[in-house]
This record gives sequence, structure tokens and C-alpha cells, in this order.
Amino acid sequence: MSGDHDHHPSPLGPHDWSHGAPHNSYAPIVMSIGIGLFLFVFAGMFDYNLELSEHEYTGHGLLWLFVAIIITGLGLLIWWRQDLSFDGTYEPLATGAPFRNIQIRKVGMFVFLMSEMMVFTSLFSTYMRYRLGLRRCDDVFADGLFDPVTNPTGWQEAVPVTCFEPASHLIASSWWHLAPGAINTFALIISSFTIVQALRYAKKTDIDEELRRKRVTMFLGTTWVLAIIFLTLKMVEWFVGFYIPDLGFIHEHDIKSLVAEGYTIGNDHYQHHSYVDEATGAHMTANIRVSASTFYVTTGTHGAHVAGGIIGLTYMTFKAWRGGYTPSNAVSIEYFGLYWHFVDLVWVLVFPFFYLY
Amino acid sequence: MKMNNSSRAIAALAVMAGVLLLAPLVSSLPTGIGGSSIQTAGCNCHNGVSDSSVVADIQGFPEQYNASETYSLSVSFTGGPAQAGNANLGGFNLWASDGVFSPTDGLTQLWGGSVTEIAHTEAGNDYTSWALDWTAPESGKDVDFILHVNSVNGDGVQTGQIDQWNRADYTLQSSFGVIGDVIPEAPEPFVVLATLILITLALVAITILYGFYRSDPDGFSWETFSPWIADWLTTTDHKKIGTLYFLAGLFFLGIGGIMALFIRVQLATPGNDFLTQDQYNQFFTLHGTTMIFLAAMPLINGFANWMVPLQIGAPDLAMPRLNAMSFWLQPVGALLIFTGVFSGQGADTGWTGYAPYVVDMVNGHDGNTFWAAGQIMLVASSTLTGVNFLTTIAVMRAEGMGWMQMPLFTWSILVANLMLFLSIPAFGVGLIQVYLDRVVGTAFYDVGAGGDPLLWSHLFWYFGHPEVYVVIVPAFGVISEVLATSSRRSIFGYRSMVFAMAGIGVVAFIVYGHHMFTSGMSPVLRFVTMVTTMLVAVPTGIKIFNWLKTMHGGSLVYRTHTLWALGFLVTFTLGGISGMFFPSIAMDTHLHESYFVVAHFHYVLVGGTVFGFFAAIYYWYPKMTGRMMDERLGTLHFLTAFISYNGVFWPMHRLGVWGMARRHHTYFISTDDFSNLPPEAADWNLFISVSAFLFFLSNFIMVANMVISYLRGSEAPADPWGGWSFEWMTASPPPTPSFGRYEDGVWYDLPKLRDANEHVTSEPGRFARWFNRLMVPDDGNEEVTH
Amino acid sequence: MRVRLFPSLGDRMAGITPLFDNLWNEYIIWSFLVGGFTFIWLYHHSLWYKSEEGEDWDNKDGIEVGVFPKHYDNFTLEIAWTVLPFFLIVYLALISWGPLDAIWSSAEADGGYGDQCASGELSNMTWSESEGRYVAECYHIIYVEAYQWGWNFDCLEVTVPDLCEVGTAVIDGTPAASLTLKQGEVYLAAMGSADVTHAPWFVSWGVKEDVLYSQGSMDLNGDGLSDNLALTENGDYALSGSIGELGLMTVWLPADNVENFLLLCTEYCGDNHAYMLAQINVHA
Repeated sequence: MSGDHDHHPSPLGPHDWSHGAPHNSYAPIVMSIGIGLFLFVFAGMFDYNLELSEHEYTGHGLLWLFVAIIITGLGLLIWWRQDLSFDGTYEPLATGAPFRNIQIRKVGMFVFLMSEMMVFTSLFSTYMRYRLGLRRCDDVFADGLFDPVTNPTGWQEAVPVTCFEPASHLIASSWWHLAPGAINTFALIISSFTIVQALRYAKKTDIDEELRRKRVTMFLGTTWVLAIIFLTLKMVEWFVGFYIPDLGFIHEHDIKSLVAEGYTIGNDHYQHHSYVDEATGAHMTANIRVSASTFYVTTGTHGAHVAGGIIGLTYMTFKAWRGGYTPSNAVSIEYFGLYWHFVDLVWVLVFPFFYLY
Repeated sequence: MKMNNSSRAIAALAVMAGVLLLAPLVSSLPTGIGGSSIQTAGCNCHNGVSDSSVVADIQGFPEQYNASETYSLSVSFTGGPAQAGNANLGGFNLWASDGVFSPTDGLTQLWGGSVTEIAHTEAGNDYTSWALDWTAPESGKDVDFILHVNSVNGDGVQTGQIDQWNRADYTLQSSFGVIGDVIPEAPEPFVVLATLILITLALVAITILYGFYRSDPDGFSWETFSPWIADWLTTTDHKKIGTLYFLAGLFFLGIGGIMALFIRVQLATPGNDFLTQDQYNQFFTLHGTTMIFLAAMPLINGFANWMVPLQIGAPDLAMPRLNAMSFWLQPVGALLIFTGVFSGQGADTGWTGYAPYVVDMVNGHDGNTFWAAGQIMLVASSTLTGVNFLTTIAVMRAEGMGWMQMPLFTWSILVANLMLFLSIPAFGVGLIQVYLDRVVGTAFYDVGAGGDPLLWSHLFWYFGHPEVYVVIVPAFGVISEVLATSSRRSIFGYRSMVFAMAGIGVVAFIVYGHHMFTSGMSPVLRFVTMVTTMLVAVPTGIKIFNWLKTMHGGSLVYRTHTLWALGFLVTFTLGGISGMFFPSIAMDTHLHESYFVVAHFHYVLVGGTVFGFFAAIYYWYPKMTGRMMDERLGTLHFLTAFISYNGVFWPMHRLGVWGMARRHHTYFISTDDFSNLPPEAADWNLFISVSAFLFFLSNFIMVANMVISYLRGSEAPADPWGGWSFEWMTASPPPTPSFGRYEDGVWYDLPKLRDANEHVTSEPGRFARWFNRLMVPDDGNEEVTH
Repeated sequence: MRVRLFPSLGDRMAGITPLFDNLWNEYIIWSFLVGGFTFIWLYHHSLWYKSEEGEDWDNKDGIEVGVFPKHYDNFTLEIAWTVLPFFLIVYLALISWGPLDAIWSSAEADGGYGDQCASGELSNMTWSESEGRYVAECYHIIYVEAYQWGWNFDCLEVTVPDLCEVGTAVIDGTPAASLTLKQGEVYLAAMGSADVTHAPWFVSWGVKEDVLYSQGSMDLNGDGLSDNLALTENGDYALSGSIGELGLMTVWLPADNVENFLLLCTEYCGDNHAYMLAQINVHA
């Protein structure tokens, strides 16, 4: 590569990295346009119904949403195409204290993760503010049915109570409900292991090139699969639910999805099966919109970060399969690995706080 | 040759004229100054709502009127909650653009102190129809009538929305046909704004094209233009990105200024109706958002991108492509924000976007969604910028440049970016919550579902306060550079300057409560916030005194940048002093949300940040373009801008104490019935508005100076001012790469900092060495660089 | 154009309340001192240390391109202008601390205004020079409600019309609510909002407070009143629960002078924010 003088470095890639040529790139402007278009179109896909005071999905502009995603994807492809030819001769080390001899981009990744920590801190702050500020729904239920004389502070069937209903009330109610979340936890933890293995093999100088290519591809691919499992199980848990037939040693279970149970952001008439007054059969209704919002947006933001990781992993697996990782550029796997460990760490905090507590 | 030049000039002028012709005609002032809001805002008696079941009617109009003839009119309505037998039934307000009303009985009266407006009396409240006379004018113009009727729920209870009103419009023609002037149409402010923006864009495009032409007059063709423009759109070079940020920042500074002028025209007299309330609210929101996010931050980033790698002796930033990404997110974000504006339903929440109004789907504007979306992109841009600069400054400093040998501008960018990228994610999360609340219906700020508006306040101000320090600290850095170089001394107290900036950076995060003193804070928190806010004055004061001491014993050479730095010292000190009044909570309860606040933050933001960056422009322009700017034009700019600026903002202190509230589209002068502002408040407002126009126009002197100097200025040497930092070592403008050369994975010939002090302190200190030992070095498996 | 550039020496710059004015005057004095010191220093140095283009100058700090210049500092001076401003700030914080409780406090804590007045009892508000604030023997509770875009008042249990009366007024052509209070009385305003966040500014008293949405400001039980209010036996309205229960905000309103002034809204709340007015009348 280094003998090849490319006089007109293409801003669309592939790119010759070894001559300090200006690294022009169309990716930034194309991706910005795609992201802007996405946010614009997405805002128009829902309508606010003034009479019912609620939002409804209309799907207007779905085509344009796809156009926006495609444009963003094109930008990303340009970025990757420039990176694909990167054979690792440009990985400078820091010169000054306190990061002397650490790679520049590794320092950059750590700094970026600091800002990501602030994102999740803000989301957790929102959650804790509402969690601790609103009364729990089962505490409100325990107040008992309203009676003008004996229980004036009780709840009434027809009047929705504004209270906090943690998702754990549904998810932690049985082992089967917890299963997708638990499997996800293991999946992420194992994927952190596999990404380190990928790095290890990529850095090994004493093995055959073909073996390195196979191993790195295998480990990166496994990480990718585990991440896909994570997102799939999350979708199952949120939207699909699953059914376990009676197998003798396992009883029949019909695990409904969160959405099917009514745990949605728009639900101001939520009725959990345990909120039934035994004596009268009155069923307490709750306005759980705040609880659902904090749950879905926080776990969803984490899921979005996993999805971002999957996009990165797709590219990396492809590059590994093409033999693009050698000991001289293996450190770029480490950059991703840092991000991935961070995503895993956030999950280790999200899972107990949102699924168990 | 001469013929060619003049014909080209004519062509350029023709293009500009064409643009101006295409823009819609902007008409003059609307139909006079009235005191009533009813014509523009509708009836708000008893908090009524407009309802189509109420039908207004006037009888008695002729087909065409005759001059000076009197007609008997009958105003009535049907519908609405009025019921016979109630205490009150209804009311009306009839306004005419010309002619004279006269009441015929005790049920109607002239209104608003004018003969062109008539309404009901208290006795008239018990009716649903009224009789009155109208005498036609002599002019023969078409006369417009606006009738509002209110159908009253007369049961005597005063809560909730109970009345229903409606409006009817009529136009009466004279029998003469059209004679004399046509009544001018009221201008549509958004049309005017759009026109001005388009004109500005056209001028910028023409200037850029002309600059391109002048760089190679013989090669003015698509074949040479296409790669040139493609280079600019795809560049990752810090110098070009710096220029892009800078141009974008200047452009939006102008747009924000135009919006400010709209605001000032509206406020020039009390009761003005140049802008409706609705429009005014959108204008002040856009003014704030544009100035902070689209003008101040990009200007800072422009200089940071240009100067930080030069100052630390690095060939570029740590992650050049990410830097380009940071930039391109900004114009697209700006487009999203302005989309809301041009839909006519732009964001109107103020730049602070308080909940729950920001997620109000009934009364709130759709533009709020795009305002949130655009700012989400800007948050991403700022986060990436912060990561990039922190990494660059931490790891790419030249040999011999320890932390305590960096130039102060670089230090200021470091502190600013550290504050920025740690605080802006909170804002981003808040914006995402607002965006989702408005689009998909989450309930973060839905008060009915238990949402808490104070959550937004906390998330916003946790970002918002460090943000204002983010925009001022780089100005501090610039002033340090400029004053030291102008005085030909090193800056006094370098170490304490660094610690003061770092101190400001840390304390900035714990004082944000001072924006929420009236939001019901606990007494303990109020006191803590009060004390910490006051304490921020200590490091800031240290810096000001250090700057003054720097001049001591120096040989001060007066250039335009020196003037601006001295001007900064005046206005920023005044802004800082006025800021000290707010933490004293007993005074804050009066001054909060008044024009005293507006005066304070404009003194520190314009008098601080903008003046600091004017100084930076005059200081670094020769380095960036290779041309010297004209000193006489610079001095003229300084004098006119500095004086008119003070004329705009100094009187606002007094207006605020008198009782003029901010974010109000009009203000109230005391009458016999109530006291609010003294009569001279109107005079001062007019004075401020005129000064604002002068200030706006004076800045074109600088723009003209920049353009003319670029084309015809004398060539700039590498170090025109005698500075010591690395940027003065490179040519003007610097080559690419700025320093050294890159071969086979290794950088050669990067600069090395020498030190005039005897004890060279560029070796890492104890903390740095300990920190370094915590990490695993990466030079084991990688190819060694150098 | 009549422009008053310089207030007469006897004219109090602010003229809001004695509490505000005392603090204001103190701060103005210190502003002049600090500002004057800074500007005199600035003007002196900018003129005294001028040098002309081309003149010889003393390169005492070793300024040279590519060389970090000599340190120029003076430890004593730097300590001086760290410590002295710090002392000034501590002093300013101390004088600002005292009047804090006079501005807000909920009715549950002692605001220095005694307990709630019995029916017909007068506050007898006086200025306490030693405490630097108004004190009173008791206070009256009144109700203020904000909505898009106007104000509703209710005198609650202050049934004596001399002490509190609600009416209407026309301000600049806009109908608005009016509240008539008595000079020398202290009122505690219990406030709620029916929709978004508002903030009443009682301009002449220099008092404002954010008013957030409270559930009781709506009329959910359909009796034609906000749920915050309930009809009592006497035919008046009273709060339907305690201030804390209802989630209302509170602020002290000391009616010190006879005047009529405007109540403005100072938290942006939508289209008609500027016209969300009320008139406060204080009679003798």
C-alpha cells in the first residue's frame, strides 16, 4: 500500500492513509442530512388528537423515513469504505502527560464514554425523581376502596390514580417473566468476553494469518449474534410475549408482552390483575404514563446503544472476514470493545434498577 | 481590462437587484398604534374561547358609503352561552380603520380613547344587540371593520373558560371608487424575516463566489469550481472547518441581530402592534436560540478549530473526520429549528423552553418539536466537539509543552469544552424527552399524568449555566492573548489564571440553582446557591485584576484588537457587577425576569463574548487570511459599535428596576388608574431601539473591513503583533499540514517549545506520573511512531 | 423627549420596598467602589503604558516566537485580590441572608409575621429596623389562581371587605381582575395554576414566585369551582385542604403603601403572556 501514490484521494473512499493526504470525506455532510431528515419526518408520523388528548400513529411519511435512513446509511458506508483500506500505519501515540504512550483514539473513546455516562445519569435522575416522588401504585391500592365515611382517602374505581407503577411489578413477577431479561444479561456479559477474545487473536503475532482471520471473524461474529439475541429478546419482552406449552416438568405459561399487559406510555387506565378489591371486585385504574415513559425511554436508550454497537459490529465482522485486522491495527477492535464494555456496564445497572427493583 | 471589471461589477449588481426584486415587497408601518389587543389577539374577556356557534352581525351598512355621511348601524349576535334571565348577556367591540363612531344611547361608549373604536357600557352588558352611529370619512378609502362579540355566561362564577366570543370582518367601499392612497397592508413579519435571510444568503454566496473568482481570475469555470466547492464540503482540515464555523457563526450573528431589531421596533413605543403577540414570542425565542447556539458557539468553535492545533503545535485535531461531522450537524440542525419558524408556528417558549408549556399540544406551537429536534443535533455536535478538543489538548501537545506551558487561549478552550461536554448531555436528554412527549406521547412533562415541570428546569439549567460559562471562558482566553501581546508582556499570574478558569469550570456546575430562586427551592438550597453564585465572582475578579496588572510596565501598542480588549474589560466588568445583584435573593425576587436580567446577560454575552471575539477577529485575521485589516476602519468600528452598544443595554438596567418585564411584547406606562412604568420609560425604549439599529449597522463596518482586506489588504507577515505562541511561527496563512510532514506513519519536524524560564517545568508532575502508571502503554505491540 | 439622566440625590434609586432599597443602596455603593477602582486602574494603565509604533521597548519577559515567556507574577498581590473580594462577598452574602425569610416561607414555618389572623383582626405591620424587614402580628391568607391568560383571586376567609375585595378592572383596554387590599396588612398568597407555569410579579412590592400546576386548580368535581376552593357554611369560599396538601405555592405580600399597581406575569406561558394582567389596589 505504501508504494502506491494516489494523487487524487477520493472523498468517497477507499482511501490511501499512508501519505498524510487530506482526509476529505463526504460522510459527515451526508450523515448530517440523513439525521436531520429522519428527525423531521419522524415528527410528522404521529398526530395529536385534540379531543381524545392523545397521540396516534399515522404513518405519514414512512417512505421519507426510509429515505432518511438510507441517506444516513450511505454516509456511514462512505465512512466505512474509507476505513476498510486502513492497514494500520497511522495510529499515533499521545506525547504528553498524563496519557503518554496511549493511543490518541483510545483517549478519545474514554472521553466520549464520560459524556455517555452523563446521558445515562440524566436518564437515571429522571427515573429516580419520579420513582421516589410519586406514590407507588400498590401503596395507593393498599389505601383501600373509597368510602365517604370510613375511608375518604381511598381510591375509586372510575377515577384513575396517578401513581408510579415500576415495570418490575410485571417483569419480576415470575421466573418466566424475568427470563428474557436474565438471558439478555448473560448474553451481554458473554459478548464482552468474546470481543476481548477477538482483540486477543487479532493482536497475536505468532499465529498463521488465515487462522487469525478465522478466529477474529468467529469472535466478532459471535458478539454480533449475542447482541442480536439481546435486541430480539427485548422486542419479545416488550411487544410479542411467548408461550411455553405444558411439558410435564414445566407447566404451561403464557407470558404476555409488556404492551399486551397494558404497560404503555399512553395508558392512563391501566389495570393490573392484582389491583382488585377482594370484597367488592372493584378494579383500580392507574395513570401509569410517567412510569412507562421512564422505563421505555431509559431501557430504549440503552437498546439504541446496543443497536449502534450492532451496526459497528456488522462492519467489523465484514472487515475481519476480509482479513482486515492485523496486529498493527487490532487496536481499533479495542476502541469498540471499550464502548461495548460500557454498554454492558450500563445494562448491569439498568437491569436491577428497572427490572428487579 | 477596465471594461471587463466594470461589466462584471454591473453583472453582480444586476444579480443582487434581481434578488431584491424577487423578494416580496415590504410595506410600511401598519394601521397606526392602538392601545387594544383585541383586534390582534381576540377577545379575552373572562377567559373566553372563540366558538363558531356565536355569530356576529352588523346591519345598516350601505353598499357604498358617501363621504361624511352618518349611518345608523346595529350590532348584534346570536349563539353562545348567553341566556335570557342571566345577569349579563354579552358585549362587543367594534373597530373601524377610519371614520367616527358616536354612541346613541347609554348602552355603548367610545373605547380606548379614540373615535374609531366603540364598545358596550356596563348597562349595555345586559343586551345582545346595540345601536350606534358611524360617520364616514372624507378620504374615500375602503374602510375595514373588525367586530368582536362576546356571549357571556352570566351566572356570576368566575372560573374556567366560560364565555364564548367570535369575530366578524367587514370592508366597506366608498362610492367614489379608489381615490387617494390605498391603505397599506400590514407587513407580515415572517415574510420580512425570510426575505432578509434570503438576501443575506445571496450576499454571502456572491461574496464567496467573488472570493473564488479572485483567487484565480482566469480559471473561473465549473471545472475549477467543482473540486473547490467539493473540497470545502468534504474537508476535514481544521483550518477549513474553522473557517466554515466562523462564516456560519457570523451569518447567524447577523440573523439573530435582525430578529433583535424586529423586537426593538415592536418595543420602541408602548402598545405597538408591529408584531402580534404570537409573532413577538417566536422572535425572542429564535433570537436567543440563534445567538447562543448558532452564533456564539460556532464563532468560538471557529477560532478553536483554527488556533488550538496551531497553538499546541499539532498537525490537526485528534479526530479530523469527527470534527467535520460536528460542523455539518450544525447547519442541518439550524435548518430544523428554522423550519418551525417558517411554518408560522415557530417555537415560542423562549430559549429556555420551560415545561409544561413546551410540551403543550393545545396552545403550544408545532415549531417546538422542530426546535427540540434541531437542538438535539446541536447537542450531538457539541458533544463530539468536546471529545475531540479534550483529546487533542490532552495528547497532542508539542514536545516541551507541558500543561503549564500552554497558551491561555488553549486553556480556555479546554476548560470550556470540559464544561460543555459534561453538561450538554443533560440538555440532550431533556430535549429528547420533550421531543418524545410532543411526538409519540410520553409523559415526562405532562402535568396531568404526574409529570414535573421542575425536572426540565433542573436538566436545562444544569446545562444552561455551564453553557454561559462555556461561551465566556474562550473570550477570557482571547483577552489574555490580546492584552499580553499588546502590552508586550507575558500575562500576569499565568498559574492563577489557569486555576481561576478551572475554578470557574468546577463551580459553574453547582450554581445553576440561581436561575430557579423563584421556583420554590428549600431555604437551605437557596442559601447555598446564593453563596456559591457570589463566590464565582472571586476567580472572575482575579482574572480581571490580572489583566489589568499585565499592562503594568508594558509597552502598550494600540491596535483595533487592543481597543476591543479594553472595551471588553469595561463592559464585562459592568456585566459582572450587575450580575452580583441577583444572588441576593431579596433583590432577585424583584429583578428576576425583568429587563435588569436582559441588561446583565447582554453585558456579559455581547459585551463579553462578542467583544472578545471581535478582538479575536482583528487579532487573528492576518494569520488566517494572510492579509492585514485596515486599522482606521477598525477604530471606526470600535467607536461606533461600543458607544451604540452601551446605548442599547445600559438603560435596560433602569427599565428593569422600574418594572418592565422581559418576554412581554409590550409594556405599560402608568395611568391615573394604576402605576407601572414612568412616562420616560417609553422615551428610553425608543432610545434603545434607535441605538440598536446603530449597533447593528456599525458591525457592517467590520464585515466590510474583512471583505476589503481579504481582497486588497497588505500582506501579513508570520508574526505581525509579536506574539510568542506557535501559531505565530507558521506562515500567514499556514500551509497544510500546519507543521511538519508525514511519511510512512511518522510525523517529522513538529515544533518544540523552548522556555525562557530558568527552571523548565514541562516535565510531568507527581499527579501526572501517578496517573500515567495506572495505564497500560500501547507501544508494545504497535509500530513506534516517534 | 424628556429624559431624566440623573436622579436627584435624595431620590431613592429603587423605591420598591425598604427591604429592597436598603440592599440596593448597599450594593450600588459597593458597585461604584469596585467598578471605580477597576476603571480608574484601567484608564491609568491604558494611558500611562502606551508606546508608539517603532519605539524601542523593554522585552522584560523574554517574548520570542516559539519560546514560553518568563513568568510574571506577584504572590502577595494575587493573594490580596483573592482574599479581599472574598471578604466582600462574604459580607454581601451576610447582609442578603437576613431578609431571606421575609420573602418566602411557607405558613408552616415562622415567617416573622406571626400566626394567621382571626376574622377581622389586623396585621399591624411595622418596619423593624433591627431586623431590617417588616414584621406583623398576624397575616391573612388569600388565594391566587393563574390560568392561560389571566388571574383569579379569592379572599377566602378574609370576609371583611375593607381588608380584601375582588373586582374587575380594565387595563389598556383589556378586562382584568382586580384585588383591593388594605395598607399595613400582611397577606399570604396561596397560589395554584390551572395549566402551565406562571409567575405573578407584584411589581411595587418587588415580590414574585413561580406558580406551578396543581391538580386542584382544575375543576374535576364539576361544581363550577376549582377544586382548591370549597364552599363553607357562611357562603364564602375556603381552601379545601391545607396549602401543603393542595400543592399550592406561597409568597408573602406586605402591603406597605397606598397605591394602585399592576400584577404582571413573569414566566412565559403562551400567546397572551404579556396581557396576563391584574390590578392591585391598596387603600388606607
